[in-house]
Amino acid sequence: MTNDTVLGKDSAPQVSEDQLEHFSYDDKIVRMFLTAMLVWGIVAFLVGLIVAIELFLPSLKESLLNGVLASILPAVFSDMFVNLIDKFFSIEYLTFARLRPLHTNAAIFAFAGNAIFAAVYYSTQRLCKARMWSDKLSKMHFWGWQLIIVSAALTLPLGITQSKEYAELEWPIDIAIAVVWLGIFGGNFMMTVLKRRERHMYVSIWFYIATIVTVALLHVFNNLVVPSGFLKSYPIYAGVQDAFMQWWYGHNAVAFFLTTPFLGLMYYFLPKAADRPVFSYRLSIIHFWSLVFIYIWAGPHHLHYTALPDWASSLGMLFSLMLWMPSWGGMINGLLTLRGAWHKVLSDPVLKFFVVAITFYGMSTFEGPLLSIKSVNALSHYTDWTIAHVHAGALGWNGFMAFGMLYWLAPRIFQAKLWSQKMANAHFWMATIGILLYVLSIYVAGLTQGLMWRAIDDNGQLQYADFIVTIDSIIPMYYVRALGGGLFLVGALACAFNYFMTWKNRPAKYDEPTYAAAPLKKVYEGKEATAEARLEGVADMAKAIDKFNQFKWHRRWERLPVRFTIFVVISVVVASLFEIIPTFLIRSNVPTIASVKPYTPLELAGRDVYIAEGCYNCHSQMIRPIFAEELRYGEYSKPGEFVYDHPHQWGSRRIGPDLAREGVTRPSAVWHYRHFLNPPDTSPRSVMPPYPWLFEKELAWSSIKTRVWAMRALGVPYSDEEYANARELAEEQAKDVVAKLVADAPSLARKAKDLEKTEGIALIAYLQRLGTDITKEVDEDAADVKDTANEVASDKEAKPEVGG
Amino acid sequence: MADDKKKDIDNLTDHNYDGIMEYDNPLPGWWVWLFWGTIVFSIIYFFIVTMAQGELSPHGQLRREKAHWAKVKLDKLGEMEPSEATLVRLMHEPEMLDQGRSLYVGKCAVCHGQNGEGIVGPNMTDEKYRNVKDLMGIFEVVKNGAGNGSMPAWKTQMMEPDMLMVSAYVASLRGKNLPGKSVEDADVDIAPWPQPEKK
Repeated sequence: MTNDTVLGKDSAPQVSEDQLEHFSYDDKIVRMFLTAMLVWGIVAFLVGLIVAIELFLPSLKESLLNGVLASILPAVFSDMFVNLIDKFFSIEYLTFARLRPLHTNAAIFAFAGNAIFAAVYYSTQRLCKARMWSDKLSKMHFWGWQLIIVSAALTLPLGITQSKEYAELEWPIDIAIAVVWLGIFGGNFMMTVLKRRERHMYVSIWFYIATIVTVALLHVFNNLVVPSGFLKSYPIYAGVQDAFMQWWYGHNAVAFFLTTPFLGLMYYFLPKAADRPVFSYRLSIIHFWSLVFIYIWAGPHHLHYTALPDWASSLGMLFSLMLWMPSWGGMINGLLTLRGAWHKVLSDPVLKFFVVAITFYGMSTFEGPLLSIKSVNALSHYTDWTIAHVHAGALGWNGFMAFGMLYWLAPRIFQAKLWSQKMANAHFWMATIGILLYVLSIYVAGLTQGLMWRAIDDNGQLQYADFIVTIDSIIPMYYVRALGGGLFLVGALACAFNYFMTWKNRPAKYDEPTYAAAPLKKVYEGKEATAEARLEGVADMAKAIDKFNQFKWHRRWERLPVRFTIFVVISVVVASLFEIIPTFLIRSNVPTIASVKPYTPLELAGRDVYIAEGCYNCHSQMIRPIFAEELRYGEYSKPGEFVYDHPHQWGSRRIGPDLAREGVTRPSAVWHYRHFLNPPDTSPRSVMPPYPWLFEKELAWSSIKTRVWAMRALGVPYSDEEYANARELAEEQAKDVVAKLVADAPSLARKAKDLEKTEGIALIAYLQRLGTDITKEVDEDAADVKDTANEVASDKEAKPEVGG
Repeated sequence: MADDKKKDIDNLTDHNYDGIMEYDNPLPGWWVWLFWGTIVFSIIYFFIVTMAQGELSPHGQLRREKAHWAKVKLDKLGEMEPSEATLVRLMHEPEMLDQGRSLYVGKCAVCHGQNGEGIVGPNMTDEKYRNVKDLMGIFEVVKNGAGNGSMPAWKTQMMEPDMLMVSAYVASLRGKNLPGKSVEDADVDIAPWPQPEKK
């Protein structure tokens, strides 16, 4: 490089020609991953747009039938649109609750995932001066990953799901992910690093290492399950512990799938595009290690005010606060690297995308700690505020970073000029305006709904007791959101066209330049082996600090990839165990409640219908210990109520009301029946789609026994009798439910025999059970246990028991 | 400017990766101080919250809020005996009926309709009743449930004054005869509600 000669600092020892090794880089794999990123990105945005529209379709339909649109549009058109909406809602595979996981998985693992791989394959080879260790493994990685994405796109709409957010995929796919990620991708990457011809690992490589090992750990430990069929399983954790593991995973998926690899990407592509040195090597070191160590602890902030013990919630909040500066370290290093290159930002779309991306990163990583403060979270949790936050992160940071990289890479990997600079600029502006419309409207929606939920009048009554009123007020914002999302999608389509045209201009045969470099010697002979104290006449302590500050010790680590990887593993594992061990081992964290019993076989099957339909995407089952919440939903949820919940169904967003006390407050079977068939029938202006197929599809009766078997394997106390007669017990209970239904709605008598067999009846049985156990009487001899348990549950659970 | 450039060059490390260089700039002071600040704050916060034995936890806050509102209710409503006299009194105080209405909308309207016209639960604006024989009967049904479990027992979910106010509101709907769920065979006539004593 020119800089080297100018500065005369190049210390690489001269080697003779015959010692050099010649190699080229595999850019074909980069082309494949980058193309996949773009294709899946468009799929993810499109599905996102569909689910965004689904939320206001019922209001649109109402408007077409009786509202403003009815008076404007000729009847022919409004009828046509209403018909279209009804047709759409009659397809069970396209409900919001089934598509939303598809949207999130596509955005995270398909769009961002393929972006990461494109970045890793392009930059690692160059940073290591080595071709990928095995082209074959690279290809297997590519096709394996795309296959996983396709299987996700097929299983999720079919209702095959573990119901853990961003970990919805069932166990066979999970195994494939572990193999492809760690075995193929991780193996290929580590071998490339080990065979590198560059002595030191650059900061991007550190972030890639952290990504690979941590994501593997998170994925494996959150997905430990007992299968009860080829595509059905139950997690080994229940209730509080399952929620804890899920958000340990969920939060760190954000950390190690959407943050660290993208920081690695930034550290390579930003200085390249700006042609400026990175601002501070020392800052890279400090913010890397603090980020890797601190991020892991912050997961419990997703569970503030839930039945999670209070000490865990506090740790989650505090480590999130401490995470603020380590996150901003990346932003500072990014933005300050642009010193002296800001004039380029005005003209170069690549840098424009990068600057907005880093700005969004800075905003999101400020907002993250803010949202993790308990009292802020009390307002934001379950509202669209969270949705706005993740989109600022995923579209703003990951999306803009990925597109910036694409515009930088496209001319290089296709060896042709970018087809249209103008179009790239247009994409930039559409994406920027789109994301602003999106997040601003959804911030307003989140704040509005959060404030309405908690509003209490002078008499101590809820100001907006009717849940639907809080939805009504934010529907206009949903239209704006869809507009913003649509704009973002159009921008991506423009990008795809530009990309395609650039590809069309590629040379007949790609030029594959050969590079030469000497292999690494076994022993490092460089000059920076140890630090010398530069100060004199000061205390030993000061000398030690000075030595530390020269970071020669870290320079050494950068030469030792295996040791570096082990240090990363230690820091994430130690941090994890500090929270996991107490959560699992200290009994007082989950005080038992004697009256809480396992679900009956029918309720268990109904619960699986609840999971398959993805009800948790819109309904929480967690009443927080907040006054307004108790007024609205009833007594707050206790940890002991969830001990048989494999998996937990606490949810993260209330598009509909909480269901934790559904069985207590809405026990009527006929209400549920009518509500599922046509929600506005019982709940005017409801945005829930109709679920008529629930009362047409037959329940999977033959698998009920296997389900009970799996639960028993997990330690849920079903008796031998219950296990042996699981199916018969379920059939009996279904008859009872239908008998009651018919008693309230005699017209259903002729359908009773058919109804007994359906999924809907099992689901109703489950809903009728929800939250009822703590109000039940217990056997005399168990009564005192219950009293202490309740007392502990309400008062003492908050007491931290760690380290005491 | 020139000085800056020179300083920058002096600051440059000898690192070079695929042409990417790195400066050896120190950590920004404000960054370091804020980082330490969050760490110190966290230690102090954890210590204080732990010492407070749950008083500063969400549960502690809930306990205080409940006590506060219980007191507000007591001050505003006075002691409310669950009795026919109380219900009659509440039925003739518009402010109490407003509160009852707000509770009704939150808890009852899903089954009994926004205005009491009935959906799956009975119409409460007509003159016929099934599980209710007198005014206190409404309160009993609200409190303990009815219809073989179709009507939930609210005693575990609502405070007693609230159950009384919502009962009074429901009673006040009688005779409005809104079109809705029709009368069924099991529904019977009952005596009119008692009137408040003239002062």
